[in-house]
Amino acid sequence: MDNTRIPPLALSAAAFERIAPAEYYKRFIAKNVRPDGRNLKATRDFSLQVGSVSTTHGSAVVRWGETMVVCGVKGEVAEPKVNTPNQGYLVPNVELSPMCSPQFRPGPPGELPQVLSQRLDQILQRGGIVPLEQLCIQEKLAVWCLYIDITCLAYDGNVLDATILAMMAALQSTLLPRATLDEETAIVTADPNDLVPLRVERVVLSASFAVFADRVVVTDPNAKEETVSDSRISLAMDSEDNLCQMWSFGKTALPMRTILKQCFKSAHSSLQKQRALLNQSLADARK
Amino acid sequence: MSRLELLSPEGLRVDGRRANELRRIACKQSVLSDADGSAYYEQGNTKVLATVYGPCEPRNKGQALHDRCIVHVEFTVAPFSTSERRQRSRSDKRLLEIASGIRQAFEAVIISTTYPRSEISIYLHLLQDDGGNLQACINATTLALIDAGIPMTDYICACSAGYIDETPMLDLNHLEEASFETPDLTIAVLPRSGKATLLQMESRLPADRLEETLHLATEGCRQIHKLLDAAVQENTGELILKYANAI
Repeated sequence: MDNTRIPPLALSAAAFERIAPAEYYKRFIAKNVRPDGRNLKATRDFSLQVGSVSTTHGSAVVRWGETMVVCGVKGEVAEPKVNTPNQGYLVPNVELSPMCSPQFRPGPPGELPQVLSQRLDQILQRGGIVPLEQLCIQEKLAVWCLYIDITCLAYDGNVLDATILAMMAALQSTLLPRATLDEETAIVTADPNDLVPLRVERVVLSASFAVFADRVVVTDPNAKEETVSDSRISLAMDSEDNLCQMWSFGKTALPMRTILKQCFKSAHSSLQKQRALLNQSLADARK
Repeated sequence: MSRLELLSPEGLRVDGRRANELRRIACKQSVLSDADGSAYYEQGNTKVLATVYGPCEPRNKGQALHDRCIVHVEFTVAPFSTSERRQRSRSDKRLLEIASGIRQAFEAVIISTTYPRSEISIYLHLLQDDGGNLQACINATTLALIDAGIPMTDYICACSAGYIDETPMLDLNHLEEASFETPDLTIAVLPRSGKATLLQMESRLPADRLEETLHLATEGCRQIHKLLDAAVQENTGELILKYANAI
């Protein structure tokens, strides 16, 4: 029997990624680059299309790298609450179905979509984005209830930023028919030829980050990066650089001050890009 | 809407505190005999009961992880906790969001690899709501987990802070929180390393004011840590006495 030498264990890059995803990412990040070729601070390319769903009162489609979300705003007439007789409602809802990623199961919504919906709701409620008085049709009797339904068609991480961008674009492009209440018959009639744009007072957009090894901040993580990262941070800011919402959760504890400084720096350029795209798309849609 | 004066010219708040003062904190471990760990936590008029069961076999065996335990958090609010009675459903998104935040914060400190294929369930019940629910829940959970003897790398101490009339304010109560202009920030800190596992902020704050508000909240966490630690030592002392008498 001849001496057969056992070859040293050599893995292909693809196998290495599957077996030890965390280690695989660490090697890349140590060299200041990411597996998809971006540097640590780069966002993916994103695009926005406004008004593509004609059955809605306002809609937007956002493609954010491989992530894709559709937002539709649809108004319905509802009765106002007794203590806010002249305010309408905004009801955001995010849907992540098994269609967009196998990590979501069919059936009742899981934790992530509900948390996302809640965050959008917080932004709308506390950010003073859409003044609710303009949704009043007839005080105490009828108001608009705007359902903001967001469906994720493809999930590749960072849905929060994509969702918020889609929501802002859809709200800003929303046209509501002028409605009047006939007090005798108690029927609301809307005039489809007299459309009034929804007034949006403040535009809030967000930038998300993933943190590796307690200190490396990566902008706009994709789905793989989200799963292997230690923590995630999202900042939502308005156009005057006010911080509107901030969330940070993770598997490890972070030295918050230094990390936040890095995040703010990168957030600035991401938000600027988003704002420019948003204004551009809205201007194109109005033409 | 007429704005309530939240800070008097003398620098006192609606409940008579100064800007950098915490509310009175009272806490006690081992308040329930059936649970593996439990704690009662009171911060001003916010009152929370935390219960920990486990580590035990997961109720849904499909969820079990082969290398560590899963942490399950459920947060419920008593219908009588607010001035107006309000029954919240179990699937209330606000409650789910808070529970999800607490779960992620504690996954960072529980040494979960000690209990593979098992589950630790944390049940939180808010008895009275006077603002600062998230911080109260986190602090109560820390005490209950310690009472259950679950190994953790550190305490988690949480504290909220806001920014009213150009002044950072510690530990907002319900009135201060409910004013929509008040930024409300909650941070959960590991006191030994000073690192944070959770940071959440709602409503608007100028970005350059973040630093000082964050600093104040972290300072609050330090104070809370001392109080929690005292409660744990007292409870442990009692336990030791009990065992000594039994022998």
